[in-house]
Amino acid sequence: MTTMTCAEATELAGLYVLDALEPAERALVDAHLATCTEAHAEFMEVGGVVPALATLAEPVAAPDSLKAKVMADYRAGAGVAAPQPAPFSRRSVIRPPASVVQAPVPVPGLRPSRPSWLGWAAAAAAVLLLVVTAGWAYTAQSRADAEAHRAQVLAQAINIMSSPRSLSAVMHGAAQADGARGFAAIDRSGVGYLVLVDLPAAPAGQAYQAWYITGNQPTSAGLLSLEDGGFAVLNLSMQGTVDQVALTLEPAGGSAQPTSNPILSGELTAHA
Amino acid sequence: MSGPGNADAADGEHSSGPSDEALLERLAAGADEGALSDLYDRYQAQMYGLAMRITRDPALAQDAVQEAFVGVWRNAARYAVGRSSVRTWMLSIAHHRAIDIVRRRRPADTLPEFETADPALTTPDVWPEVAQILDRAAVTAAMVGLPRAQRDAIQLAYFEGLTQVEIADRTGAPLGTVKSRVRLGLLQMRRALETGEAPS
Ligand SMILES: [Zn+2]
Repeated sequence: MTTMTCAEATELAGLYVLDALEPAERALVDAHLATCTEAHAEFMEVGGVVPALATLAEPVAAPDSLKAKVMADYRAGAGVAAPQPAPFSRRSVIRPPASVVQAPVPVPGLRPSRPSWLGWAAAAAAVLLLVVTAGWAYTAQSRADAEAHRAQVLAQAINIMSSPRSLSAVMHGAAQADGARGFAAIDRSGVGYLVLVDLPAAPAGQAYQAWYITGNQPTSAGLLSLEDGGFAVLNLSMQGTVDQVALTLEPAGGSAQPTSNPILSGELTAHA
Repeated sequence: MSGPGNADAADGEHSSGPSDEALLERLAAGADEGALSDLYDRYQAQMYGLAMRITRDPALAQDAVQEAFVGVWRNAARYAVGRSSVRTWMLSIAHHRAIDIVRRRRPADTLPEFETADPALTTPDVWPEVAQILDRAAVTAAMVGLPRAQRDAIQLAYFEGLTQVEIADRTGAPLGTVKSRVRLGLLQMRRALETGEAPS
């Protein structure tokens, strides 16, 4: 077995933290890190990014039967839990970068704020990419203009969300809108946006219509036009108190009053 | 507003009940089915979603999550508070198990035994659904901002479990190039996530 220089170990930091080294090479890196007097901060730097990659996978509910298996494993083997914490483990050198582990700062009387690294504008721009590409595998260059427009709208919506006395609603679809989700954000003057993603195309001859709901009384907020990737944005402008924003399927052209039950709705809640 | 009562959003987001750390401590202290059951309910969807993304097969993904939970209760005492969130720790175990399963199906070595947590990415306990969308969006933005070759190399390693040599084979790039693509790509993602600026 040969030994490894600091420079060679450094080169392998990315593959190491992704567990993508062949065992022999990993062993060389481990041996180097265990004996080297250098801090090798680059391992911490790249290692801090790895957990973020996990968020790229959409949560998917596991089948109910899986829980029974997990619990059965536990009943069968709970006595053999490793009793001793490892005093110093291979990866203990990889500490999270401070900016990534930074906990949300609680503001008295308010909800915790977003961590600083998650720039709202970047997030908004990226929502589009998500929507358009359903992943990060490619970018659609030809859609750059549409994306830029969407990014602008989303950035505004997100600005509203974080403005004083704004209202927002988180929304999940059901029935024909199953899988759709998004949010409504309305500023203190009643103006804002409804932003939805993963909305299936409306059945032929029908359209999605949004409603402001006050008590039991719906008022039309307008028809939604669906863009690529099930993405939809609607400008909202409401008067007086509104409890909920809801979506129904209506005959193309819309209705004066809903003719079907909401397939997506969210309760407006004061924020910040 | 959607809250902890929402089945989708509740995964990993809970303002009531014992903390993740408290549940893990109970697991470490001895047999406690309730603690395992609660942790399962909180994280099964994220773990299964990650395992599905990697294995692309429901049966294999279930195996990965099942094995991951064995790893969770066996190693509960090794979890180091403060080094990473329980969520991150559990997701990294699920990732490890899923990659292991994918590699077992190829003529390759199994991974060394999982030892301890990867570093943390904390998720704020606010607006669970929006937060999830936006967290994913920020990471997506960071990823999309990478040169294509770097992005591919990271994806092949993280989501497909390819090793350095396999990535080189798949992409036709020399080993040295694979090394630097992965390292520089991760560094650039880190900078993008830290500054919160849209990558250029
Ligand atoms: Zn060194």
